[in-house]
Amino acid sequence: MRKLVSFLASLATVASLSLAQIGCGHEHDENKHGNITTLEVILTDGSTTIRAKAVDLDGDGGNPPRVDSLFLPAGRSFSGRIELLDESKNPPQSRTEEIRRDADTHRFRFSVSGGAQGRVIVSNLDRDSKGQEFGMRFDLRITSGAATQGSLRITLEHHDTGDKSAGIFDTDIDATFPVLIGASAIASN
Amino acid sequence: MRLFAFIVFALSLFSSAKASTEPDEKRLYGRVVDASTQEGLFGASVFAEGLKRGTTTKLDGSYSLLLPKGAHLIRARFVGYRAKEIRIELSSDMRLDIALEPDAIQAPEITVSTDRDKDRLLESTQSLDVMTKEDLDAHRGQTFGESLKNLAGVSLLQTGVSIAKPVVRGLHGQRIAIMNAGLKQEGQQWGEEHAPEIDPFAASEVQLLRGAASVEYGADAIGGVIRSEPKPLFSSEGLRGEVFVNLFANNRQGAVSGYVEHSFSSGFGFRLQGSWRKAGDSFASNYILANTAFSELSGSLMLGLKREWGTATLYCSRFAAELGIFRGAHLGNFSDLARAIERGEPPTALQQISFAYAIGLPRQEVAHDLVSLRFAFAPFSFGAFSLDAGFQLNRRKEFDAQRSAVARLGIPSLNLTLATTSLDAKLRHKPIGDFIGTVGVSTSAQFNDVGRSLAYLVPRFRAFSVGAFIREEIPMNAASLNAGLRYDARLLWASPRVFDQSVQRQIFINERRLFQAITASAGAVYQFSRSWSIGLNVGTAWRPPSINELYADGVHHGTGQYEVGDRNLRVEKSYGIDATLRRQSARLELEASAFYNRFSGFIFLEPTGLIQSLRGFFPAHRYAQSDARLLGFDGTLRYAPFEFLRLDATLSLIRGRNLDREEPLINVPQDRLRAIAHVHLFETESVKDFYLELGATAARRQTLVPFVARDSIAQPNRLIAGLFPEMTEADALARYDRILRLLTLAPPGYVIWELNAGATIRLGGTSLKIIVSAQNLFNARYRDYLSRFRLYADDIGRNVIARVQLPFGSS
Repeated sequence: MRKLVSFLASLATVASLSLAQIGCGHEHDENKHGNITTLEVILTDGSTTIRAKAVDLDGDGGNPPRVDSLFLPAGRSFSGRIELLDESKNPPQSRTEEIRRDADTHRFRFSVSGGAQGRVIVSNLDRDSKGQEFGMRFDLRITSGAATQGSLRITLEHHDTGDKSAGIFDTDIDATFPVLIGASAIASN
Repeated sequence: MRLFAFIVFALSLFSSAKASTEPDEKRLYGRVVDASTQEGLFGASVFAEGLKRGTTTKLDGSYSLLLPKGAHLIRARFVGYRAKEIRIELSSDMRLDIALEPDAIQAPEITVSTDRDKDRLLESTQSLDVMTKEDLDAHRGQTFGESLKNLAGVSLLQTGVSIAKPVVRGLHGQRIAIMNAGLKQEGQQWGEEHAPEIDPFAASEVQLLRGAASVEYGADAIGGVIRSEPKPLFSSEGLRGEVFVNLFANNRQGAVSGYVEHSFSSGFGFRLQGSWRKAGDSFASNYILANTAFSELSGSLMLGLKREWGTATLYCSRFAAELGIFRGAHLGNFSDLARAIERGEPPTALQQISFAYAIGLPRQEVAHDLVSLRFAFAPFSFGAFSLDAGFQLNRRKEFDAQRSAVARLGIPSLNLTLATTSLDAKLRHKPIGDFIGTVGVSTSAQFNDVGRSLAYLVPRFRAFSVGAFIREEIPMNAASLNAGLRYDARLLWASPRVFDQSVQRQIFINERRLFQAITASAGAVYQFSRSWSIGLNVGTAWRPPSINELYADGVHHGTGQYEVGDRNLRVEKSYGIDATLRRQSARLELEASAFYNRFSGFIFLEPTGLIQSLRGFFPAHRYAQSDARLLGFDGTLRYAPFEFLRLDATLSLIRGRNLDREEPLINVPQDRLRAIAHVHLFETESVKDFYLELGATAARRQTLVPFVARDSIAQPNRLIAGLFPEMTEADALARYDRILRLLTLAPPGYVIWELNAGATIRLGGTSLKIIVSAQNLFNARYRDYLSRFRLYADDIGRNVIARVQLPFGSS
């Protein structure tokens, strides 16, 4: 019978130890790390700065992202960059450097469609340490011509093997900006 | 066509078996009595070891049994008495009276009566299968689930080689109960890629009870019950043990397991058991499956005490595994899903990746600790009492490939800790009039903690459950009747995340829900001839909605699928009827069972269209309820036409339908037939039981699949066109339709072959058992409908397995 009591005692010990371990619970702190709510495109040519944001403050689910239109003046060239932010925090936190540090496994891809196809040309993407395209900084040129509209889709591919030509990637960000090409510059914001 | 040939083959076996005559048999008869009072014992079992033939005694303790001429080991057993074994030489009809000593110690386990000891024919009103230690040693898989795959009515919901969820009669996860060392295994079993956290080496007996069994096992036992039991202590005295080595060629896996046990004459015994497993990447027939390596380290300690008052058993086990998830099935969003499905095969670069034991991302880390303390005693004269106390701690971390920077910091995408304590008490009372039966109560308390993680999927919660049941049985000479009734309640406190329209963001709330149900069952089994019986069972079963069905809100681990729970779900109830036909004779054993299961409030995932976030589009699903039905047939046939030849076949057919939506249920296993010929080759002084087996598994294409059409989901075409901004709207819609079709269609049927050889070699005082087996012998390319990778990659190719088993110590 004594053995029985010691059995019970050891069971209780194991149980209480384990409960203690999970008892000191964490708060729901998801999204503290690695969360990106906002992708901002910033285009400058020395005199003009054009900005457009895709923002999804509530993360997956909830409301769809709010996406600004990009108003682009025909016949101009810009140097562009992308900023990544977590705007669910107050004050908003930049995630740009986090992704830049992982340039070797990430790649921004730009695709233009609709009437903007052939009119908006993205080139000269910056490179990672292995000389592969990264694309956080780039050049964007708008050819001359009539006013038209289309879209610019910016995706952030995550190539976890580090070989960006392998075609093995997940999509981390996928935002499509409506593009309006006007006859002259309209600086947004 | 090949399937048809198999059915003809199986049927012809069956008919020829009927025609064959019984060998020369003699009658063994007599009485089983109490040694002290000489009173007849009613309901005692008498059976011939090895033949699996037996009977139960009548009211006056008398029995009669037909056995082939020759030597037999006869064993008699009765509740509360010490079992007795007697060797006999049967040359003519013979009388054998057996006196059993009352044994206060021997308060047997209260379980469904699945002892092979009892007469198989009257064993259960429900369909039942038992894998003995020998079966398990020969078929032990890479996972617990895989060990069971050859049983009729069982399929596997597989996420690669390392994750296999058993599916019983088309149901899995929260719809079957898995009992591990007497406790209901409580992990995060709602997840399709969450396999039972049980070391395949730990079980020495696995029982499968098909069909609803909520009365005894409480909530969740809708499709069936899988009981995994460690080897009992006190089977022999002295120090002994066994070492197992399993090698799997396909993924260059090594698995080593062993135990030592000692039972002392003082009534104390222990067993220490451990297993280690390391597997590299698996190979399909044409390419490697990148990042499918896994490893496992598990162990258990069992202590037992046997005293006048009864027995006490403490069992502590730990299962810990790290599992790589196939890289080619990991998806960021709908665009990734579209690319992967349209490709249908892993990307070329991924097919050429070199073999590794390293586990990259995505991966799971799972640990399950279990402590069970079981008492069995017969305190008073009214029966055998058992008390099971349990504690389980399940930890699961899932790491996404998405943001490897974060995963490198050690922050998982999913991080759940589930603690469960339980207490079950049962009394199996001595006969009262014609009734024998069991009453019991059970309670459990659960706590789910959501640790630091990247994303929200399910909330933290607490739950408290109680249940009480009574189940009575009237055993008769050639029949047995039973009926049972149970009440269960589960109180749940959860802190889910919900979207608050007023503030336009997600907030956490607290919520309490009570789920309760009354379940009942009734059954009868009737032995209508010497070697045939028929059983009939009607029963209800239930389960509360699981935590993800109520509160999920997020993208599930790399599936690129957004799941939303419904806080208002009701309990799911099932009403089942099944009939089981059994034949038991020296040459032919058969168990064939037909079932019909009707559900009210069947919980399923309903596609609701697309949702959009900064990560892109996701196919969205919501949990919903409707009426549903499952019906089917499973059968097991064992026919031994000659001394050296045995033929085994199992057949499983299941049909499932969602009655409200008027469409087939998703993930219903395909029709499957397995046939195997076992040839006993020869026996020499040093080589025992040398055998060869050739078998095949044929699976028919699942044609009954729910089809999700674009029109069936209300969403504007403009939104769908947004999936592929580079395409015209018409092209985008056509591509979307094509993807939906690829998503729902089942892969073609297949036939895979296996070849096994085994022998037991005498080595000094011990005997070494060696089994070599080739699965998927011809390295066929195939995809099972229940493979969660079926859209992206083939199932694994040829796997040559070597198993060595060496017992040591006193036998």
